[in-house]
Amino acid sequence: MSQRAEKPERSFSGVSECQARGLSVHADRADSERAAKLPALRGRHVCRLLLSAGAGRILQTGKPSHYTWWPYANYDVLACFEGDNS
Amino acid sequence: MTSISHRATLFWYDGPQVFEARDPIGGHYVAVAIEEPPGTSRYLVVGVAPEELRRLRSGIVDLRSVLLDGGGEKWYLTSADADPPVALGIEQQTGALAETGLLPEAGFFLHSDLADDSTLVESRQRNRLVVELVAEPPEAADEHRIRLETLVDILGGVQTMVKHAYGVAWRDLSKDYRSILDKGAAPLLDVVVPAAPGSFRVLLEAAQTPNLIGESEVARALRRVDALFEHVADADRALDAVRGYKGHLAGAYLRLMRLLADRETCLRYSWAEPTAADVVHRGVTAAEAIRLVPLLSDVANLSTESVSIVGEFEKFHRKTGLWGLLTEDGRVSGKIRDGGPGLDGLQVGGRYRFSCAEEIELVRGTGREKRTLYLTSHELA
Repeated sequence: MSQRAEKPERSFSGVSECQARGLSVHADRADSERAAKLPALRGRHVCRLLLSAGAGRILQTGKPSHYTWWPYANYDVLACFEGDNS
Repeated sequence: MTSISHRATLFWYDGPQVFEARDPIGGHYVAVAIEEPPGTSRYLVVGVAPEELRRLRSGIVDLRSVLLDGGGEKWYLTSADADPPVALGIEQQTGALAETGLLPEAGFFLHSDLADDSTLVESRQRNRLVVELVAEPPEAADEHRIRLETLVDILGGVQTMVKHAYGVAWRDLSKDYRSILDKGAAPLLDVVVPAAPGSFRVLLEAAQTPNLIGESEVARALRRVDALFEHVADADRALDAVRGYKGHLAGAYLRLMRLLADRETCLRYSWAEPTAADVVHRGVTAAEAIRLVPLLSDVANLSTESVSIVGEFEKFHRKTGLWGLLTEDGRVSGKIRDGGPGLDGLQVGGRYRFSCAEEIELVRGTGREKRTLYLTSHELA
């Protein structure tokens, strides 16, 4: 869920509205696992997904491996999750 | 109730997860987002010693340890309604923090590895983009010494080049993104260590704090500066790189090279952002600068930029060649050049479009730039 979807009334200073409407993903699984140690993200599952042609647009928006993903409206997000997730 | 203000985001994921803050008398705090009801952001806040904050930023100590050390008995909660949180009132809580279940798990470090490059270490400790400049003028051969004029000119030359490099980067940014930036402040660098041990070494840092995801705007400028320094040992490739940035950036680069050549001074720099995996290292020797200057000077119009101005023709001093145009943004003045078009026949009060070549000269010993607009053509607007 995007930040905007989670917080419809929130003012995001320093982050464009476009970015607020994207989904955060990491290219490196270790970064997701590290983030999941934080209290507000605790309990979130780390899933591996494969983004192929037609999945939407992606841009690196943080380091070392943070990307924002904007899935196309007609793209089935759940279909890109791969097995062996925890 | 104590209040704190956000200073810098240390870890961002769908909003600031960890940030540092200060209270009105300079006390340091670390805040971490905790589970929140939908639509709100709540944070656990703990006062920390500056040295602990430095170790946290460096990735030496994990977040849980810092929070436990600082907030074992004294800790706070706060709610924010903006990202990043601006001014926050914090409410002291009772009970042992360790027993609340609000802490992060052990092993959350801000960086997954320890930096071994001194520039990256500095960058992480300061949580800012850092540039390390090393100048080696002849007077530094035997002792830690540099002429005041050389130091001022090098620092001014570097800042000027970064500023113009940011001007080039700015053109590539979207209108939406530009609207959230401060173009004047973004490329500014502050001197934070004016004379570190070693060859004459100066540490600069980005004047602005990084954005929420840890990036500094000035990095856009530095990447363009890196491109200009990448091939200084290969004159043909160096010229190609400079031709790609014709205009004020190329002009600033030429002036810096001329300065280094004139003072027989070698210049090296390295820079890093706190979240960087690598540190960029570039430099130019005095011999390379001496070889490059005549080649760069031979490139026609290397440092001029074309500017178009529309406004009301206000005045023309025949003796000095100075003219003035009143535009929507105020008065703009310039000069006519020998052999260039004149202004005979133009009506004072008439509306014209002036096409000009803008040239910049560095005022020696001050780091200041003097801009001059030379008229190249005009037409009714």
